[in-house]
Amino acid sequence: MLFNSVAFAGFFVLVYAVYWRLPKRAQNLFLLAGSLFFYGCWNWRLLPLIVFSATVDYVAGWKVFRAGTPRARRLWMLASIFTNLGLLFFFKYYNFFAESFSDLLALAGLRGSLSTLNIVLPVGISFYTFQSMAYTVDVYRGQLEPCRKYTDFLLYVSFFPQLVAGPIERGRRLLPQIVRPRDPLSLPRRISGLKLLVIGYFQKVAIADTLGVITDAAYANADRANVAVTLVAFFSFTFQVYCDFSGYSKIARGTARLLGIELMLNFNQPFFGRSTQEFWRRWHISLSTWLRDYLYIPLGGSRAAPARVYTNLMITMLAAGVWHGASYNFVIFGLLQGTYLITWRALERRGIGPPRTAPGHVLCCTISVLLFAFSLFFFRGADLAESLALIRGFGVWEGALGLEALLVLFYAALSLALDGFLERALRRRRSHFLGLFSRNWVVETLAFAALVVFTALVGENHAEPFVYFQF
Amino acid sequence: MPSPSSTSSSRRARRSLWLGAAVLAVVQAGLYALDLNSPTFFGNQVVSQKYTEALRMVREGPIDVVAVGHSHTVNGFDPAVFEEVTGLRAYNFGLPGTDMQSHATVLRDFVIPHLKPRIVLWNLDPVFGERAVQQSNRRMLSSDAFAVQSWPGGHALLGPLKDLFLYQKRSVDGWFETLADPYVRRYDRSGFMPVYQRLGLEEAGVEYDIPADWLARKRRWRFPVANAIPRRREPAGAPVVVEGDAERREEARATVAATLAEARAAGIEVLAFAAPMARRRFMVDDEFTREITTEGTGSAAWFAELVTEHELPFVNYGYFPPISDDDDLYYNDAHVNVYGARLLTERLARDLVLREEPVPPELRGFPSPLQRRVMEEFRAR
Repeated sequence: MLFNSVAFAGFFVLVYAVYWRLPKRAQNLFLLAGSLFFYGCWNWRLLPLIVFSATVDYVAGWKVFRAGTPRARRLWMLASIFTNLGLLFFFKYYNFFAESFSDLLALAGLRGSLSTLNIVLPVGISFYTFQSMAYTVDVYRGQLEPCRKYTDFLLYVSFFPQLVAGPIERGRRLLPQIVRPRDPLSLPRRISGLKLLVIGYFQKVAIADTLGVITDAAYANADRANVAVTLVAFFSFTFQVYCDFSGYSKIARGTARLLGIELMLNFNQPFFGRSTQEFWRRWHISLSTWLRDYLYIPLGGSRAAPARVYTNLMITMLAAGVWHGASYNFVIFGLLQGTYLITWRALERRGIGPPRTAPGHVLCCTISVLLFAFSLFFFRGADLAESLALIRGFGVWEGALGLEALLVLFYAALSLALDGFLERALRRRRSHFLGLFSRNWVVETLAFAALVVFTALVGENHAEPFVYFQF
Repeated sequence: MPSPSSTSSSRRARRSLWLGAAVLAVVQAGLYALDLNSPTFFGNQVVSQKYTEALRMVREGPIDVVAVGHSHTVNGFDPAVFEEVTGLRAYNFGLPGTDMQSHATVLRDFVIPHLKPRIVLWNLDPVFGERAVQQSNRRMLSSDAFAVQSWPGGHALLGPLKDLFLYQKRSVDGWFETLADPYVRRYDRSGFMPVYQRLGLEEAGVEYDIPADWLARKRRWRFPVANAIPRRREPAGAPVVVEGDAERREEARATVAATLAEARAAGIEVLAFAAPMARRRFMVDDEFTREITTEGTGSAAWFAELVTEHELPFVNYGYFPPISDDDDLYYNDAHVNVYGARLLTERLARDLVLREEPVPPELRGFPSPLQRRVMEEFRAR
């Protein structure tokens, strides 16, 4: 059930209408039933998996909390981590490692192989296992008390707005909201939820899906790419993936807000980040902060010798790459991000940081975006050969930029304008000259109505899956 | 007691909601008044439009014959001519760019249960291995219209939903084309009637009020998505996999077999035909000629099996000299114009439905002896 389908619209209207009419005690159970139904619509056979993952962490959380000795606490936490990573490894990475192992043996001139399995990748497994696992670690660290009711915890793991593609929530933030009875929503709050939905659907349906058609056409011609095709693919996919995922996150936040629950901000104008470091503080924030809190800092973080810090950065970004999927392409994507971060940091150590002037700011933002966009060749390519073929297109000076390049430019500008102006206004930064949107309710309403009309009239006319649903 | 600021923000929110609703209502009313139709080729609009039309027609009286297939059916089957010849009411359920999986789905989920025709004319013509076609086909099957019609009573919802502006989605260029072009605005009811066929209508004396510079302007307004991007062609000699990718092929076979069984159980006779290609289409050694001659790959071999296995009455007009040899009956290599459609429909009615004479052996099989002959003729040159 895609967020951009009629089926989801029907489902959500029904959930919303019933949910707010139920007594407070029954609301969570109803949301849980709705969430499991939502997940079951993808593949009901995989429902036991999410229930199993949640049950393991619920039990582990209590065991950690009640364990008498530090060793026992540690063992229970490790049990949770190994179970979750084991699930992830089996469903997502087993075939990749089996194939890589065989390749490695072949390189060494040896024969032998691990047989691959025909495994279905459960939707959202990377998201819910990370969320569930983080809970146990938080309990272990004493940052969170274990959840009392099992059904509340199951809802925390399976809450449908963020189940299949995040944001990866933390127990500290989401669980108290779930446990606490929810007050009726005020009209302004409901409208702010609707606004998030409007922007989210605009980003997804009007921008990302339209750019998706162009990106698909470009990648389908990777083996005969020229500079025109490569440039179109380069920019088109960058803005497609941003609007797709950012749109999804806003729809998730909007639907959750309409149900009285606040989800974390997942994107914060990433293309306005002045370095790769700033970029990752603004892009897929729930993943980057997860990796920071549960991997980078435990590895030693930035409080170490430069070589150690660089190693920590590389390991973290490699994990970020591999988190996306099991292929060499994602390994390279992660390595590139690690390299970018290390380079920026090394420059900063030598006193070459982002300049404070406006032109310098624009230059640094542009460099940071272009570097990221380049790494996306590996993110989007079906395999290494396709990515490299498209990159080679930069050297083939044939072809001409056609009108599709204009479309990409138009949508990129629209995406940046939306990010820079409307979102900023939405967060009531009145200092901005377009704070007019937030000061004048008529202008603001007309702007949002225009977004609705634009989405409806020029959006792609089919429910295209979200890019991040494959993770 | 609510604070004054919360009361004022509630008031503002309420006003905002009313204003937003009013704007959307005005837009909807405006679109309704303009009677614009989607220029999009694939997707919801075509599907919901077809469903709604068919339901309206069946309310007026039983439909005897439904033709299913892709663009060859859309362009080649003329229900009015068919009724003239046979006295049977017919509906053209062709969906451009679709493959057997879509046709079977339409038959199984909609035509058989809701239209209950006596006869189904199923157009067995390969769609070629372009990714674009396969993607469009998938989009069609995953479109909201397909989802909605499968809900209990969902088909009745399609009519009202079709008129919502959400269902009139079109691209920026599509809007540009529509608003800039009075011809498209007035006459292109579903957006999939190709320009050259419409010109054929004009030649036939139909008043369509086409501006003289229409073609030139159309070229100027168009925003072809793949302008700089060459389309992928299968390498010469490669096996052509059509009707969806290899994985989906088995699924399509199963759906088609089950649908044929369902049609039989419902007392519906299924008749199959292939539509004529222009003679010049056989000159080149490309996907098309390889597709209809390569044994064991592609759709043609499957169609041959299908016809034999299910004992479907079948006529292969794939190469049919009275139509194929006359360029004036075509608007491109693959699609007949209105004159061609008239001839083809008459032949279908007489050969396949009325069965006035037995089907000659040269119009049987995949490829038919006539198709083989014309290809050999061109190769010998």
